[in-house]
Amino acid sequence: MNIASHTRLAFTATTHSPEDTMRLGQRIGSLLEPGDVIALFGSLGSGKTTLVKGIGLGLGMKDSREVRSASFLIIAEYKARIPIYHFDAYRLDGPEDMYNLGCDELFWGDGVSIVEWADRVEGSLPEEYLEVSLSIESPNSRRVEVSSHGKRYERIVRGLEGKGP
Amino acid sequence: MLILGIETTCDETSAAVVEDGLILRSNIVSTQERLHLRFGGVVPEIACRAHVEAVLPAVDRALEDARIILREIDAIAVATTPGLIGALLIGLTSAKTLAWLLKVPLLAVNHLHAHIFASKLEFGHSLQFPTISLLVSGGHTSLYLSQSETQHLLLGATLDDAVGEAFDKVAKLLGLAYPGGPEIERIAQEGDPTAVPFPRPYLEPGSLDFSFSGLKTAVLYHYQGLQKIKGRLSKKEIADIAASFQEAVVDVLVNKTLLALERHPVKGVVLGGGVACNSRLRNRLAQALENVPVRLYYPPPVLCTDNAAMVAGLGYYEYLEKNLASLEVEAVA
Repeated sequence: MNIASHTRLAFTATTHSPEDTMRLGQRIGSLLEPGDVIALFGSLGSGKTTLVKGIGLGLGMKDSREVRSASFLIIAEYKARIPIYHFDAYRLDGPEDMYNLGCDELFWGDGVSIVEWADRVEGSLPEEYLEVSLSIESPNSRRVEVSSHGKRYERIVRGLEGKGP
Repeated sequence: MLILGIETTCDETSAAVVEDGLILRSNIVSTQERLHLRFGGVVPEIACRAHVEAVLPAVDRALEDARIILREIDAIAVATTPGLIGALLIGLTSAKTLAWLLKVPLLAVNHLHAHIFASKLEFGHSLQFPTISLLVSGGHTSLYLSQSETQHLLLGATLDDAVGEAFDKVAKLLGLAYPGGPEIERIAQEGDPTAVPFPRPYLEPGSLDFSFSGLKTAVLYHYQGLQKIKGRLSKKEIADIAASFQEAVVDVLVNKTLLALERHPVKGVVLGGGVACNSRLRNRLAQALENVPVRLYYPPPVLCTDNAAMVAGLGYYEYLEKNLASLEVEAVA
């Protein structure tokens, strides 16, 4: 099946605290494989970095405190079951900035790449990726939609569904 | 001993000459802020290209200001960590090349430790370690027990956003200009710091770590809530939010510093990093230390923000401890 005709699978959940968001991240993290790319969408304060902390735990990081906002460094790298490349495009100005950072090399490498503020650099994402969109429903709750772009990522959405919401 | 310092960890390209670790002979900072103004942040490719163009002219001017020629330099110090990797590499490669060319020692300096050292440039031998050191900048928020110029024990750090980053993001949210820190401080002067009871994120009792992400989100909720009711916010309302946000940040920074001091009763507190320019933070810390025998040190604004003088100065102390770097030394983001 080519990508254009691929039907997106989506999994939606509502989280009710940062800890809850982190737990969802942890479940996503436990389903990841080398070479996976995750694009995070969501406004300021929607829980993107919190989700990354959870993904880190799901990938076997011992201490999620190592995961911080990467807005300053733009790329942070963490040691885990699979190396994690944490991108933060908050201060970037388009896909070209991502290319100039060498994102391609990392996207096609053996690590897991997570891109915060993916909407700012959408053109630099590979054809296939896992989209995670976070939105603020109320001060304490976040709607999180996880959807597959490409067949490769269907397993993650199915995996999340399998374990229930 | 004359040390040439080079600093290219983030926005600023800087070169400086410092004599015997404490005498500031020159300090050239060519800021990229004007470039970044267009984007509201740092764009790494632009940052790196600008560093390439600025680094050698900055070295030339630093030598000129110090009234020396390149051959008189006894060692080269360079900040090798942490920062934007591409930016770090430009400073490091320049420094390695110069050290190799001149056949002088190369000194690899930690940028964060250099920020703490900046106060030593200002106060000289009257600043004696150990101290509690609070480092607050766009990329970092950390508390250290500083045992000497070169030895710093990390006591706590931010778990999410750095203080300067929270200032920048809140400024953007409020429609203020970049860089956000100075703008918030300026506008806060016309606001009431008690107007909005924003949360003070202390984490678990006794923690010396920081978290400013939730506070940033609280400002967002408050701002959006007011917008829904009133439409456009008045200048006074924006000023109140800015002042209340700043106060919440300063409360946490001051109280955690006092807690660190309680655990490690030393005689000095050092403030460093770009946010150390914030006068509310300076004044509140000074007030808090008024009745205790603890002296507060902070550098003048030009040595708070990124600069090579602090790198050259700390490089001297690394040299005294024979911590010489090889030409293979690597930059670490």
